[in-house]
Amino acid sequence: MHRHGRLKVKTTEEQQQAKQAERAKKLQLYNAATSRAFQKINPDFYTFWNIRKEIFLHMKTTLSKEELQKIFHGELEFLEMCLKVNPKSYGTWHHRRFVMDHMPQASWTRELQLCTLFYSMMNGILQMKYQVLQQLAVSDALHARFNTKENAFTNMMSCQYFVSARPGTQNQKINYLLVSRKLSQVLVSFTRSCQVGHLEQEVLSGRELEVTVELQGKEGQILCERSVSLTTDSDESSSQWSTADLAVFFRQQLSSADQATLVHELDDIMELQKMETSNKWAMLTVVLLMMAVDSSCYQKQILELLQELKSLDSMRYTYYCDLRSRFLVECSIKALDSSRALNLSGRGLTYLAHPQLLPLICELDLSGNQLTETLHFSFFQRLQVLNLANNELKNCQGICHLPCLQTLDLSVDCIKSLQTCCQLQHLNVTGNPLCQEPCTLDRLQELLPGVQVRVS
Amino acid sequence: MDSPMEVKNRQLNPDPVSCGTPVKDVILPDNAPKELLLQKHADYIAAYGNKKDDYILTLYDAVDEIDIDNLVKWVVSMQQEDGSFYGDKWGEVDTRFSFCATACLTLLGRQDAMNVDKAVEFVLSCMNFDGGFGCRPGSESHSGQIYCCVGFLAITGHLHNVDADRLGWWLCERQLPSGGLNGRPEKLPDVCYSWWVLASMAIIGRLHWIDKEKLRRFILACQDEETGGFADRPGDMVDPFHTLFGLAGLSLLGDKSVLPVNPVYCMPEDVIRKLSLNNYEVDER
Repeated sequence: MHRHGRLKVKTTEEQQQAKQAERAKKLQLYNAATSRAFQKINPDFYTFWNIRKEIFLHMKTTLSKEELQKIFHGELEFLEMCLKVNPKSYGTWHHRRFVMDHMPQASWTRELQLCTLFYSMMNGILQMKYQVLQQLAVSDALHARFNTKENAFTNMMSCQYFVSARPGTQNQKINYLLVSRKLSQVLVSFTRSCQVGHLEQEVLSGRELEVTVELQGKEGQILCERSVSLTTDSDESSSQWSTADLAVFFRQQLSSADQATLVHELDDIMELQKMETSNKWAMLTVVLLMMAVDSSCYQKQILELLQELKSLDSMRYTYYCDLRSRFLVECSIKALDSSRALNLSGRGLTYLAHPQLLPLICELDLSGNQLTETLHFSFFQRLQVLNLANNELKNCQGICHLPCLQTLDLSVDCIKSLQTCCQLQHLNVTGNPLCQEPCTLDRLQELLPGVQVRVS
Repeated sequence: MDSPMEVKNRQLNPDPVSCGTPVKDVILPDNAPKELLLQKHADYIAAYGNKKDDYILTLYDAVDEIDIDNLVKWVVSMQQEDGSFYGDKWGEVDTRFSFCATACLTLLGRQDAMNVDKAVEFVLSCMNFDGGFGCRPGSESHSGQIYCCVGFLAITGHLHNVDADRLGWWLCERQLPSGGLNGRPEKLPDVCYSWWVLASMAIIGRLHWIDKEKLRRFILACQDEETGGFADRPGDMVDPFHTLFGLAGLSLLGDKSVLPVNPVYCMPEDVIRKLSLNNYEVDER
């Protein structure tokens, strides 16, 4: 906006001095505020860094090279101070890179020295990370660990490292493929969860008599193929992954290392565990390695160690319970025979692991455990008898669309979803709060006509 | 720099269970608050209530107020060829920008404007051997980035790529003897991780792996009885950032006096439900 007729008043010496003093005061305030804001409170303030970047870009167009070099140099020193406060501030490091990219003469050798200095300030964690990045073999890492830091082995990172599968080593595989004419159903189950979308199309486009499902990897190579043919006189045909394959799958979710390496590691770590008997990291590493090496032969030791871990590290009690549950279920699945019946009663299970591996199961006894949910029970498409008595279920969400279910022993009061199990004949709900209600039996029979219901 | 209180509270843990590397932790003062001071927090938050932004507009169901097309155009222009996102024109790449961009576009119903496949590819390339995620490929796992990446994968429908057992264990190991959670191994506990860690665990269905009661006590101990609000640690200065994450954390822990919070968007569940954005599956136990 223009302003007219304003008289220009000459500045007196006194006024000028006052103004200068005011400016100096403001500058002091600005400097104090920024250094306080950046160094004492938080150097991760993006708006401040962005304003500074704008100022530098402006200065690049107005200042000489020498002046610029000096100012940028000062900025680097300032940044060093900020990094001392918070060496892991992303904003600070990014601004530093901006300065290096824009200053007339950047000394990258000095920068490298600084990085090395900060790198050495960080503890062993980062070193481990870089070893991982270089993808050293497991035993190399063990070796390096022993050499670099005595006693430092038994921390969290090393525990993970010994039993780690590198990302991307696990492929989804088709565990089971079933084609049923009787139920007009094509059923495919995978070893791991995957995005079905485009797979669905392939499955459904299968011709009436021959269904082949291919699972393709990223680069288009076929990871797995399963085919099933349905002859005119059969209603159903299926193809399933072998138990040996499942054993490999269970091991791979723990480690991608080969058996010999794992056995070697286990020996070493058991030696260490004897020296530090109450060290949870060593204990957990032993447990995981034992599971990977040979779960059935070490079963007793694994369960004992897990029991000890539960009391030693009570904050992660439920984690150990779930690990134990998964381990027991894996052992049972591996030992599953052709009878298609699985008895898992009274094992203290807190959840049922790997339901996707049991689409063929006909009888499942899960009574007397501590199950709290049944979310993925619709995997059991051939299940006829399900015993869930004496668990801690709050509802039976997930027990639905089970076309073969005939007998259900249940200790929950969420019944409505059972209407979708059209073959259900027997239902036992004794000991449930709902049994105290006077007309429970009538209401249940109304809800589930044709089902024999027991309430007491 | 550490506040004097922090230094006083800090101790090296003599716990033999954790030997090998020392555990940094705090001790909860005996006189720390043990109840949730809801009215105090309401007063504290009200002081910030007049700052409206995108987030507030979604909450108030008023996103029409903004120039959506222009906004979408700008966010999409931040996506790089490798699928990653810049945070702004200065070019810093970080998985947290992948999350911000995707969450923002999805809240506006415009996820289709970005290259989702490429974005997923970039985020998955930041996954580490421990099941966690860093800010760029090869960067150390960090709870903040894990939340961003897991949230991003939930929004885009790619959660099946997460090794929930492996990541869940790493996350539950973040709980320290004080009950508080830290962001990485060997770091101090902080109330904001009651969100980053806890929300990640909720999204992958492993929330039950931490000691909820101990964490609740830690969060409550970080309240300021005078002014309301939460601090990072007991006795420190409160701020809106930690106040949000303290309250949201309590909500995830099942506190009935706070509205249920959505673990992906960190917004009230009913707002997210109204937008029909729950396209991921959570196994709650």
